[in-house]
Amino acid sequence: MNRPLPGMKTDSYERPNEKWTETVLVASEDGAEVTTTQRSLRNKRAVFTLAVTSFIVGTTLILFNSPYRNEFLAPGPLCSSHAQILAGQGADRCAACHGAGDKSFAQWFSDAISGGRSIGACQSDLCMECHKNSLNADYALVAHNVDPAVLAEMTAEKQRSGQFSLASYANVPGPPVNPLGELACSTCHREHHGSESLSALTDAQCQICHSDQIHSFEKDHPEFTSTPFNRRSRIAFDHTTHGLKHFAQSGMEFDCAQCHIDDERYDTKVLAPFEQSCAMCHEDEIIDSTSRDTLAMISLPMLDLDAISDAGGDIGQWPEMATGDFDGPLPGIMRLLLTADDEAAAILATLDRNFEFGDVDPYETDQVLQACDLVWSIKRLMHELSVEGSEAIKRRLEIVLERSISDDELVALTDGLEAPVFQEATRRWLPELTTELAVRTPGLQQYSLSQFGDGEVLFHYRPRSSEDTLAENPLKELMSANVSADQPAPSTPDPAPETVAPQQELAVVSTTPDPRDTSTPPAASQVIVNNERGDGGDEGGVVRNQTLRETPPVEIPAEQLLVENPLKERVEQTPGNTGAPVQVPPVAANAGQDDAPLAIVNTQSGSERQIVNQSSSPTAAEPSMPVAGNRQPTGEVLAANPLKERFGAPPVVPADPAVNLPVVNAPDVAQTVEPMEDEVAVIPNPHMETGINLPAVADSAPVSVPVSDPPGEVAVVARGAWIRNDLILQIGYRPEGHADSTLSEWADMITSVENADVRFETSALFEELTRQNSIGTCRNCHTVDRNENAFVVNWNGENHTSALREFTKFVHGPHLIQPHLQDCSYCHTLDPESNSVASFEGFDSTVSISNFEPIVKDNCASCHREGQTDSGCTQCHNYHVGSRRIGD
Amino acid sequence: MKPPRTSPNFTFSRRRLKYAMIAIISVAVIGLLVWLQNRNLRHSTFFTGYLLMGSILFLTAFNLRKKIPVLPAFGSATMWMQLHIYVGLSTFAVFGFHIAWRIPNGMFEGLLAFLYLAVALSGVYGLYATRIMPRRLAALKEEVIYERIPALQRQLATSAKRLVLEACESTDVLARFYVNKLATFFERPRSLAYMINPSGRRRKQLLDEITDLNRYLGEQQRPVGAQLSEMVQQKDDLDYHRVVQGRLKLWLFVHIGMTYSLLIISIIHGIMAHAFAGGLR
Amino acid sequence: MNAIGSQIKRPGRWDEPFDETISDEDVFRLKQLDPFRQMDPDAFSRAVPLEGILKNDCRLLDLEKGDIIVREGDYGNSAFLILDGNAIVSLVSLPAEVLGRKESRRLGWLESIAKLWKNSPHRESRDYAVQLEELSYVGAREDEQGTRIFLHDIPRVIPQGRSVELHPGEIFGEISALTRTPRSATVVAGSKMLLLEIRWQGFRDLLNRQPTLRKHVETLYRENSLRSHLREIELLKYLTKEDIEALAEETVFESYGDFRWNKDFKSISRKDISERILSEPVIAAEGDYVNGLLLIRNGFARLSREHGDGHQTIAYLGKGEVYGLRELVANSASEEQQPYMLSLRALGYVDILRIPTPVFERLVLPKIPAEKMPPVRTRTADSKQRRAASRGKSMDAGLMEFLVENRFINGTMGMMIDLNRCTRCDDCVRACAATHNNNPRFVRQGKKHDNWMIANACMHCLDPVCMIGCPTGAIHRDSHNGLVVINDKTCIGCGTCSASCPYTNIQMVEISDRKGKPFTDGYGKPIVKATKCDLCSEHAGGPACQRACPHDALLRVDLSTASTVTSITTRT
Repeated sequence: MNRPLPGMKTDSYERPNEKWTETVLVASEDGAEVTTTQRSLRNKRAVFTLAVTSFIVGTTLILFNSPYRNEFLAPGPLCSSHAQILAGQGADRCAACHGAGDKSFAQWFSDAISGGRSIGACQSDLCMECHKNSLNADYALVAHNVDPAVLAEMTAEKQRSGQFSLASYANVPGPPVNPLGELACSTCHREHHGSESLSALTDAQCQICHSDQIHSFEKDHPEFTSTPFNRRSRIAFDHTTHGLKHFAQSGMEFDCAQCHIDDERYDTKVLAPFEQSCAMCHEDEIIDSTSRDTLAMISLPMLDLDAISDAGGDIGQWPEMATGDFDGPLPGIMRLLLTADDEAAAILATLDRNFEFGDVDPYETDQVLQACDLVWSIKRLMHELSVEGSEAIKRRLEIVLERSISDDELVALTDGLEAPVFQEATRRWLPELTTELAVRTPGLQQYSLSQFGDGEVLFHYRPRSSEDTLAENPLKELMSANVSADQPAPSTPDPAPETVAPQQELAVVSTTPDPRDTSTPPAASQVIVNNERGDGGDEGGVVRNQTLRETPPVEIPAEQLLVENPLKERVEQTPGNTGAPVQVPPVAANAGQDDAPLAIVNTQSGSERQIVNQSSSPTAAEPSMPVAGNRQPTGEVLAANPLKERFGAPPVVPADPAVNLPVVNAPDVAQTVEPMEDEVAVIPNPHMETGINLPAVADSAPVSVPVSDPPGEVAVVARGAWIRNDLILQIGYRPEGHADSTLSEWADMITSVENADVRFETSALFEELTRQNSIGTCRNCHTVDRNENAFVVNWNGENHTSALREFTKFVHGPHLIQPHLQDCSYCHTLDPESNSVASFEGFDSTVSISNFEPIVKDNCASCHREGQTDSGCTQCHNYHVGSRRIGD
Repeated sequence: MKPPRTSPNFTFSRRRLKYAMIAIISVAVIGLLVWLQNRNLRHSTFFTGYLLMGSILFLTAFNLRKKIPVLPAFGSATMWMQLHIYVGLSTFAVFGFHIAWRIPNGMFEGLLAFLYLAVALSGVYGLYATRIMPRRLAALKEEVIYERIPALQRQLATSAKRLVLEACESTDVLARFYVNKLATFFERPRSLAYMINPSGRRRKQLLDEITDLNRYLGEQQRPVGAQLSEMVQQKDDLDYHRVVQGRLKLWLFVHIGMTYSLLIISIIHGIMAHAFAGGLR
Repeated sequence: MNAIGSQIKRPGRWDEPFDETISDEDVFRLKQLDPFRQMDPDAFSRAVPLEGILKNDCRLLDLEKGDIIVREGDYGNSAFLILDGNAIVSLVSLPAEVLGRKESRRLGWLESIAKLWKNSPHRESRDYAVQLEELSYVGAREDEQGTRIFLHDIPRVIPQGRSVELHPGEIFGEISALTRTPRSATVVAGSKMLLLEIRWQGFRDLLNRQPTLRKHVETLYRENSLRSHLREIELLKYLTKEDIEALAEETVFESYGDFRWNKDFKSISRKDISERILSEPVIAAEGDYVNGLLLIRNGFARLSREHGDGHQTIAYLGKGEVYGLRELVANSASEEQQPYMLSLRALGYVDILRIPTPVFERLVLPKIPAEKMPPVRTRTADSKQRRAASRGKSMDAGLMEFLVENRFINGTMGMMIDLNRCTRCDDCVRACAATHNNNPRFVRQGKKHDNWMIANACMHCLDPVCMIGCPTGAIHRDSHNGLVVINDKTCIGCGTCSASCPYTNIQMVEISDRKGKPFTDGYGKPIVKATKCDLCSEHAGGPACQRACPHDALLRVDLSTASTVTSITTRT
């Protein structure tokens, strides 16, 4: 600041560096110099600058702290949907998506200094606040929302197969990922551009990582190599043979839509249920196989007693009819249970995987002795079962499988198979069992078995294992185990073995509880009634009338049956049995709509009757028949019986379990099963599908009247029940038809065991259940996949397994609007030469021979090409995988 | 004695070409980087933002350089000016990349963009002015310093008045003419029209009138007329100097006046950009 | 602010003697020695007596062997008389580091910034509490008279036989002192010696009073200075030592024009150009018989040719340039003798060395290699070829006239401003002010010729007339870079320099103290000081004005050499 002093002469330098310039003005009159000073132009500029700056900055700061802050700061309008959501909240609108939204300027500053994230949640987290439901929350931010490990695996796989290459982040500066490999939402979704699409992703952007350059779909997108699923279909179904042979021959139309129906949203095709698709042709196969044999649990082998005695072995008492040459199988289940017994395990480990007693060479002493030991362990098994029933099974399974078995699982497996059954069997086959065992294992504390009716038998039991092993030996519980007192009172055991006469083949076993404890509340029957009410509908009503007409109510003391029928508990324990909902409803639906099933049923049931009649006769005619001979009719008889129930009622009113029992069974039993009443004995068992279950009960109705039991009989049950066969000395399970829960349970159990196919404990049962034409012929249609080392049976044939988004999407709906596309074969062309059978044989799901030509890209490209329909990557490919589809 | 920097093959056109090339190439490179980042789903806005901020700071630093004239390390003002021009022009492109060639539709960002454009465009005008105006001034007879103009005009006015007073004993032609025409011309500043578009119209007009006047002047007054016309020209030149030099200085009011608000606001903008950046923890 | 500042005594002619320590008996002893013994004290004015000169304008130097007395290229302002011992004059020019020409007075950039920081907000404020920085040379030795640089080993620096020895009673350095030319050679003390240094104001007085001394000086000049000068001349560098000496004997020493040309320059410059040219003393006229080769020893001469009624300036010749060579060569080549084609006129004060034609043809011509010969041109072909030549990168005639008429050709660091580029932003002035304690040292205003303006900034002239008549020697050549600088401390504000500067580039300013209060003498009159551009000599960056110009408009140009000017004016 240097204003010149008034009147002071100054030098002639111009001083533009000073704030003040003086101008020498010569006054006009008396040329006297007058010097005025004024701000220099620069100084004026400085003042102006200061004013402008302070105004603008000041205004800005004021607005920052004003209520208009958000409006002032917002860098642009939001996309419509976000705008609508946020419209409501005023002040903290920004804070919904920005951690900094409700913070002060100072905090922003410190945030910027600290390199960010010091304030509030990071934006991606805030996004997930709302979008967590629609995204796979665990991997919401990683690439494709897939576990990076898995993704890497898939990538490696695809790269191996040369399907595509993935650029490493090294050569291109890829999207910004953090050490966890996460991307921020804002990487792709850029807000504040108003109506512009938030999710638009250009092909170029896809191809940052997917580095092989695909310029347009029609030009250089790779040709489709596989049918949509690059695995074999889960149901072993050969479209070629069906379409061109079977359907053609039977003069039926091979209509895709019969099996491939729209899902509720019309965007994917799903498989129609069994009853609607396969049943009409394939049901009887299943029936046949189940009629032919059972899933044996206990089977006493034929033993060559002479050879044994020669070898110096001793097997104690053995049924007459099971003596002769060494023979008889070692059923999978029994083998499994035996291996829980160390002694047996030791032997079985040495024996061949599919050892049968037939293999025993009578002249090989040690083989014979081994057999004896095996027999003893079988006896121990029998005894254990007869003492504890399912508990024993559970325990032994747990030992072998080395895992705990839940009650539900046990119930599903044993399906009501309880001690009494085995006690009965023991009484009939090995009456001496307990005493033998007592003798064989002396010097033990005793406990009373009340079940052997009159007179208690003192009985000593000692586990074969030594004291120290006693601890972990599950059998030891046996000592303390007090078997429930309310066992049905059996008739007195026969003193002499010879009373078991070979010629007396068939007998009816009464498993009816002894009359004193008829303690069942009517509630039990109520349960059923409720059931009916539950899913009956008016059909139920109709059937009910029939019930009233045809059934003498008195004859069915339902509560008696229900007494030991675990159904009661089941109804409470396992509500909504897992399998049921999948299968039944469609049938229920269809039953009402199309009459095809009904028609089938009628014819079926018709034929059944004949079968029954025929089958009944021979058994009636020649009571005395060679065992071998007599097995057949037994089979017949047994086969006949279920058919009646099955086709008599269920298809008509599948949803109505309670009612159908009188409808068919009572009269049927009255007329046709009459003659074989004395042949059939029921081991009543509850069933998942009560509709199937109860007929069995019904069957037993007439025979359930306590009768004096002639010795030596075969206990037989209806479909889906356990059978004791005195002819072959076997206790086994007979499936009730398709989707038998017990059978599938055993299958699931055995396949879930690691390396079940090779382990000596399990291999037998595995083989038994998963071979072609096994009992129930499950494997004929349901493929078995090996994953890692365990297996899984594809009960569900659906290929669209998940409701979640996948990498590739195809929606049938809009395409099928196009007239020329409505014929499926436009895209799915059947290859007449193809034979897909081979692909279903092994356990390898990736071996896939399709009946269809691969879908041709040009089919798609004819519409999806530049200038016509959108043909960008995102048209068919999803980025966000594993998330629920929008609207789910 | 160090000689002025004149390398033998130095020409201004060559330098212009060189710098323009560098500028264009670097803009192209930046554009490429931006494209690459966008294509790779990265936010190029941070890149361009920092680039802009850096450029603006650098451009502002020119002022600092002027405050420290002595240091050789700082390079000559000429060099700075050249960089200032070409970096400044380049920022247009960078700015375009930064706003993705959209018109910013937020209030705050709008303000920022306005400030930038105000500064940048005024700069462009300044470039034009500093290249065109000097020649016009150089064409004039006299060179004057802006600050001295008022004083000179004052002197001119007084001397003209004195001249007329002395001359007007015999006849009042000159006096009347002076009072009617010249007085305002010498005493008053020029019209706004002249300020906007300085033209020699009035000058010519007056000179013609003076020559016409000669007919009515006596022998001894003729030279006075000549002197007057001389003065008129001087006055007109001074006015012209005032307008043109004024233009050379006034554009800086916008260019510098806005600069500091631009700086501050853009720093705030940068801080916000970081605080509000959508990202990961 | 009140007008009464701090008071100081008004400085006088001999307020600051050359050497405080010189005592009256020193003066008495000196008067016993040659050449003062022969001098008649009465010949001196009462104002400036011989004793006064000896006491105030002289100083005694006690030197050790190897001390450097004067350096080649220095603009020394004093002559030396050897009283005892002998001095060695090097005939080879010595490397700069030996001469200690380090930029020791240059500020480091931190200092520069610090200086900017300390800039006073007040006009022309001085701080006499702060002593000026002392010169400090590396490897220097201090004595009571200040710092001395000495050579450790003379033969190593000055090769045997390439030196001349001076003995007691001999004077050296007087030519530079008188002709204001740089020292022609470096002089070193050859032994322990006693030396009398006479500053040139004093020496000038002695000469004016003593014709004998003047003659003595002229002989001296012929003997040493002339030879070394002849050696410096491009054309003669092919001659052997003997030739040079012979040449020196034959060479005629002439001087034209007024030694104090600047006095009447302003009045002349008001005259019309044609008559101004005629008023200039003619050295050789167009059409005269070619009687020798003329070497410009000092000052400037105008080359002109008759053009219509007037004389057109073709070029100006500066120090070391030759006149008449072409004619001589042509004449020696052919029988047909041609006269001088152009006339040579003295601009102000010119020293001429004339090598007579026969001497030239005998000694010089044979030695000059053919390629150095100027092309022989006949008078007829001449004009055409000259026009052809002038079409090249030669200076526009108008501009040349402009530079010559205004004597800008005198300037080595003239401030040229290209008005076509200058935006009148005044950055140059502000930069200048910033480097000079917030005081500008030039005015961005001056004479202009079309788009070129020579601003009012000191040009650091070849012939710095401003230094003439400075009573205290405050204005002097910087002994490092030869810039004309004013020692603000010793300036008495007499205004002589300001008055004698023909370009009005020296401004007298009223100084004030740090508080901004003006310094005044006892009578309340303000103290004034002479100020001018010092080319920012103490700042490493060189002239701030040039560096501060953003538009390449302002340049500091050596106007004395036409080629430099052309290189600037022909920038495109």
